[in-house]
Amino acid sequence: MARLTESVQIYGFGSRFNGKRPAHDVDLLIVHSDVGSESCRFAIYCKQLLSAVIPHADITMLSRDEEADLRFITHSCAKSLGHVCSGTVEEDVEQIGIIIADQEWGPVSDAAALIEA
Amino acid sequence: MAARSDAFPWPSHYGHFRFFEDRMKSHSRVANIASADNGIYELTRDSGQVLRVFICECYSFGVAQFIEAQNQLGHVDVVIINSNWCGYTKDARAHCRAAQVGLFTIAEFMGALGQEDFWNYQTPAEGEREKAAWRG
Repeated sequence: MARLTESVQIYGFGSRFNGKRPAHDVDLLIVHSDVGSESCRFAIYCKQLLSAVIPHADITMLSRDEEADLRFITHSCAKSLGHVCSGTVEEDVEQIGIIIADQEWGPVSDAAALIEA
Repeated sequence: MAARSDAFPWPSHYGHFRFFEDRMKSHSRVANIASADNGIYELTRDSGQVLRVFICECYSFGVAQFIEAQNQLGHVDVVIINSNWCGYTKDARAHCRAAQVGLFTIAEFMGALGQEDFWNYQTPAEGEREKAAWRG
């Protein structure tokens, strides 16, 4: 059954988010619900929007199960940047772009705390 | 690090896929390999069959990435993950196999080329997992 709303979680990883400057690339991970076509299509749409607002973004897309299987977030020390929901997709993407542009990222910074603050 | 890309697809970190090309040229079951740009190659098997091969560098190639690749590039017969620091998910492998598309590293594809139904080639890692499952 198709969900009424889709949402994805966005993470940042790599040198840009781990204090290893200078970092030219912005490595992002989109974690989407499942490997069904609706969820994949929404992840691809979010990737397109993120690529448009974040220069030099290199974006990986994984479903929740794929991410859990690889433990990608743990292995890459990825930091949560926020959600993108289908009802507020453009505002959410813009907000994530602002977070990435504004914050100084380091080994001890906690993106989730910054978002909530 | 994976190659950054301003646009689809993922260009080579080194600006070329020479290692892949050299490996294919040296394979006894490959008659010809020709680049069609954007990471697409036309690979002719010794049987005369022409395979459309997409080679890419991304951290982890998942199902959504495969769908995006198909949207952008049309049908491909094989997806090759080029770098040691990149990989693919089990779900993506299963998804591609069901579509009769091979999803391999270069080393795995070298083995798969010996098989007519290359997309069904069991990689060494899959073989080990199967053995482990039988052992319980």
